[in-house]
Amino acid sequence: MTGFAALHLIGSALSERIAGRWREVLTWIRSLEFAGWFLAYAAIVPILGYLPATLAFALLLVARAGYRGARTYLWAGLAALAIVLLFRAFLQVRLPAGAIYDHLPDGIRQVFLTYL
Amino acid sequence: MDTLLAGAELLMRWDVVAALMIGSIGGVIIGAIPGVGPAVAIAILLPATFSLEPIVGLIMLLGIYGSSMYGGALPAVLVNTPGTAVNALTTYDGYPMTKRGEARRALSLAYSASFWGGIFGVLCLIFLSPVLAVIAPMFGSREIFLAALLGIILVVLAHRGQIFAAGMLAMFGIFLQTIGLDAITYTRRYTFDMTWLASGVDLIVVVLGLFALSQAFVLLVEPDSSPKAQPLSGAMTSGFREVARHKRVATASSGIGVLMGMIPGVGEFTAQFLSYTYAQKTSKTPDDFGNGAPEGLIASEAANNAVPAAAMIPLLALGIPGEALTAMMLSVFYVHNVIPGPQLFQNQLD
Repeated sequence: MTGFAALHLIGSALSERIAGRWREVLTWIRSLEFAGWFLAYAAIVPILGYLPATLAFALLLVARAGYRGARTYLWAGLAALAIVLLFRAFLQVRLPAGAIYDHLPDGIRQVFLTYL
Repeated sequence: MDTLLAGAELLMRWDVVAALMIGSIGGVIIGAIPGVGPAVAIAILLPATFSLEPIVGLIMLLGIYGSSMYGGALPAVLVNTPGTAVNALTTYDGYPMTKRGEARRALSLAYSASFWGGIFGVLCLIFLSPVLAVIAPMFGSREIFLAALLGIILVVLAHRGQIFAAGMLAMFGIFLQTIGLDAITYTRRYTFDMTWLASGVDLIVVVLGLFALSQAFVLLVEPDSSPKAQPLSGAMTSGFREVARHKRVATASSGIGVLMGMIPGVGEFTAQFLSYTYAQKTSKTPDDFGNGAPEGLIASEAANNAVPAAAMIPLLALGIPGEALTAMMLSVFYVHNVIPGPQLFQNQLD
């Protein structure tokens, strides 16, 4: 790996400069912000629970991506709900249940722990 | 023959049929959405298939894999945007046909050619499997090692002009695999005394990161595009007849697709380019290519649909994936405890 990396480095140092290369580097760096978003989401799910975390994440990400307008938010919320129902309730993917679910009233706690 | 019948019997089960339907229809839809390719769909649905029975989960994901190529042709023909990367050449001839008002003819050609290519690939898989079942037991660890080495060399060589970068990334992949507990001497490699690294880097985690998250980042960072759709017109059934008229191109392209699918590291993209060039060179009207030539559309669609089935051949026989998507299918097989490789043909031919 080191050998190939060194050859690649020499190769790119010797080749001619392409216009707009820094813009591409900037795009790569900008995507790191969203990596942060996904990390935060993965960290929040065990605390907040899958449904609230997904809802919040979907709405915030839509806002961050620059979309405005009530309909877009409505669709984002519905999409988040559909994702939760599909993966957790229907396909039963094992995801950590939210810590705050423990504080729910007895009747609905079980439903939340199992399906949402 | 018995195996074929056993396979057919399996297809009689309602849950298998449902999975196949969901997979194929979902695959067409997913393929048709530009930016969300089959890789993303399989990566996302992979954890969801854990809870399903192995055969049902596998069939659903294989359905997505097989049908998304055709789905990708829809936006390629209608709005000049390939749904998946492998439909890029379909836009060359598909979109000019749409602009001429022959959108329906182009779509019908696309699905007929896809059908031709897909069936050709599956037939090759069926007829080559018994041959492989004979050859596979002769493969020991040395032969597998050499086949894997050949795969890596081909992957690196296939990236002309970026050989060093490709080599670096191939080696990086090998490095990732060395992390964790060594299976023979139980040495801990690159774990830095952290217990969670002892089991190594999970293939599914890598697959999700490489295919699903990277695509999400690209979609988030790039500006939106909103292409305009053209009205549909023309006959829907003419495609099969037209493909039958160009059967030389369709068969040759499917053959190229099968061949390229079997060689590791080549995949749909090269298959498509090769068959398109072949069709153009042997055509009586090469100047029409790029301006809505039916042969061009047939060549590109037949080739890319022949690849998935053919790529299954080295995957199932030797456990060596031919390209990115088959690498994901490999992880799918592993998750469901189907270990591809020479033993698969000895123990569970179905």
